[in-house]
Amino acid sequence: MHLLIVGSGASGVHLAITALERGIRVTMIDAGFERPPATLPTASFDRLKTELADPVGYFLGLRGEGVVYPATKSSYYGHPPSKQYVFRTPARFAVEAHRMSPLFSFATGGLAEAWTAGSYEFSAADLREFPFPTGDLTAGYRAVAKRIGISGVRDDLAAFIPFEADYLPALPADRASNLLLDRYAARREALNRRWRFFLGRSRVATLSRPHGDRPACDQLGRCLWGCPTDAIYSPAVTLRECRAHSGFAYLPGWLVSHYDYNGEGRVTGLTATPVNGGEPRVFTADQYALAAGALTSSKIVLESIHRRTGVVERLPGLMDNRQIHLPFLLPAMIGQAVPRDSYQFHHLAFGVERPDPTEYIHGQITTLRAASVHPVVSSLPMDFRGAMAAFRGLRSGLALANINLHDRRRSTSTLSIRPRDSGPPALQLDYADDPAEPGQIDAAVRSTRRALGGLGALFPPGMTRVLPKGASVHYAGTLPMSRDRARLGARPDGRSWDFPNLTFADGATFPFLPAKNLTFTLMANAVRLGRALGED
Amino acid sequence: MTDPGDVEAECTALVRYLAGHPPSAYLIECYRRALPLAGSPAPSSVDGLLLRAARLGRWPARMADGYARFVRPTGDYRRRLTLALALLENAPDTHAVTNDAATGTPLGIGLAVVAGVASSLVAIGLGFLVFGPLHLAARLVPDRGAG
Repeated sequence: MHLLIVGSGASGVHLAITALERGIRVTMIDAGFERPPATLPTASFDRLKTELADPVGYFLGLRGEGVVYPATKSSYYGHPPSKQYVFRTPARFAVEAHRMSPLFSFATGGLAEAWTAGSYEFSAADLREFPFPTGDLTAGYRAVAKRIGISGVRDDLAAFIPFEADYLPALPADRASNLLLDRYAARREALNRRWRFFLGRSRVATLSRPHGDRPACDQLGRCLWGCPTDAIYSPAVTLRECRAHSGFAYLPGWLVSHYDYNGEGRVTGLTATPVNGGEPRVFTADQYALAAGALTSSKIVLESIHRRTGVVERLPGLMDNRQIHLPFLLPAMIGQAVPRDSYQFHHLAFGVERPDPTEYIHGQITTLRAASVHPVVSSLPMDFRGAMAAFRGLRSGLALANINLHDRRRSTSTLSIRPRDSGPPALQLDYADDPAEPGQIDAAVRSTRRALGGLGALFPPGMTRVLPKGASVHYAGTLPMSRDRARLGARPDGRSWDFPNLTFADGATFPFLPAKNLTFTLMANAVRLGRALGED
Repeated sequence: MTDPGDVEAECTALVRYLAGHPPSAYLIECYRRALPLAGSPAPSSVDGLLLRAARLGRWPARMADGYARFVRPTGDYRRRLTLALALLENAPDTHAVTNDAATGTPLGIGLAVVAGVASSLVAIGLGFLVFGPLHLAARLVPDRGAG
């Protein structure tokens, strides 16, 4: 069998490596914008600022494009210039988004090149609407954890986030995180009972020990700007492993627009155009898989149908996790030194249990050690001098709770295409807010504030930020899996109901989006799909 | 938009206000490079007024900042101050001081924070006293864009 996969993100690479392990020949076609080589890979965050010839150019971009300028109700951080390659889109790729600010990646490794490595297994409740037994994913979680290395511990969060895979020991927690954990241990029962609040260690695809040829985290403090040692996993790592297989061919520089199919729905070829322009080419195989991300994979499907039938379909059920940033202060940490050369992403995760377990609220806590100063200072209700004095004094105690809410498929949130006179059709996204969401946001913020308040956290007024839809980059639901045949959806094994030799391998097939970060599940699901390939 | 010849003077004024010392040649060059993206998408003549005031010294700069924080939070002046601070936190000779957290006793740090907040309130109050009427007067004149 020859399998042709579109996309080199988290789903695509784990589908590929799983297929290769089964002796299946794999070709991966990808836009493949490459990550630039690591700058001074052994230098810490602080050393970069003193050793680079142009540290401002590195950290802020040559034109200062990484500066986070004041804006009403914006996020507290942006993507640094070193990560801009992740979000670069081809000139011909047009998007029209309504009530949503989506991000796309055409980079090698996809959107996970800019993730914060949170890796959480979905629970039975999370998978209730998925058309296969929960246990079917367990093997996938185990396989992925073994491949990439995930650090974590079994703690109170295991009641909501399964701990089935083999985890490496957790990364050393920083002082603020240990303080919160100690206080939680002393007040656990009250917090669990009163606020249904549970605190534990983050589970992250960051190595606490060497794993294969990747070293353990060196605490360089460069996480946000791109880990120079690959201690933080990215799909590019697995792509390298794929490329070492004799049965694998990687074709970067191609933008897939559509596939052709016959009267029985069998895909006969995939058409792609060079990213920098040129003549299209048709690529053929026995089996095809779309793993370009929910939004882009869906666009390929719609464009394929439109080209053959002239019909513009509309896919309902677009989902994304709403995210909320809740800064807080830990007075007990004030006055303590803040080492910038340390792991920068979240050390802690928390959950708020809800009466409906599918509405579980998921959060992660980051302490601001090497994060940029200027976005926070410019947002404080003071002049810059006063804000800098306040920030400097309080910095040791500053932290951020990043809350995720679940999402459900709704017919009013849709994805479609708009044919244009010249060039490929534009992708159209229309996200309709859930009327229940404001209440969910209030409940999440209230519960988190009260629980963390019980651990000594103080919340400055007016600093909560509800991020725009699309900011989480957890897109899903447009080509959902189902047990029963459904048009423009997928079978439980990911294969399209309409196109029998086409597999939808990414989050487009998820029928429900829990609050937990979904990347680990995307990878585990891709393993599940890869193991089912060729079986009827 | 700032006259290219004034870029150094402007950067010097903003950095003196923020950091208490003049900028290095490297920082001035970085400021010059990044200035085109620092402009407000909706410039106003009051931004020009505030920028000119900043060149008069650290306290005029601070008063202008205090005023802008609440009246023109996303205007040119605040944006350029943001840029200057972003440069300070990444330049080799200033990043450590800009990024370091204060260490010491909670009481000492608390007093320093209170002092910072108090002086901020004074600056904001003075800023409104001085720039409020000037802004009002400028509004009576047709807006000719950023100064």
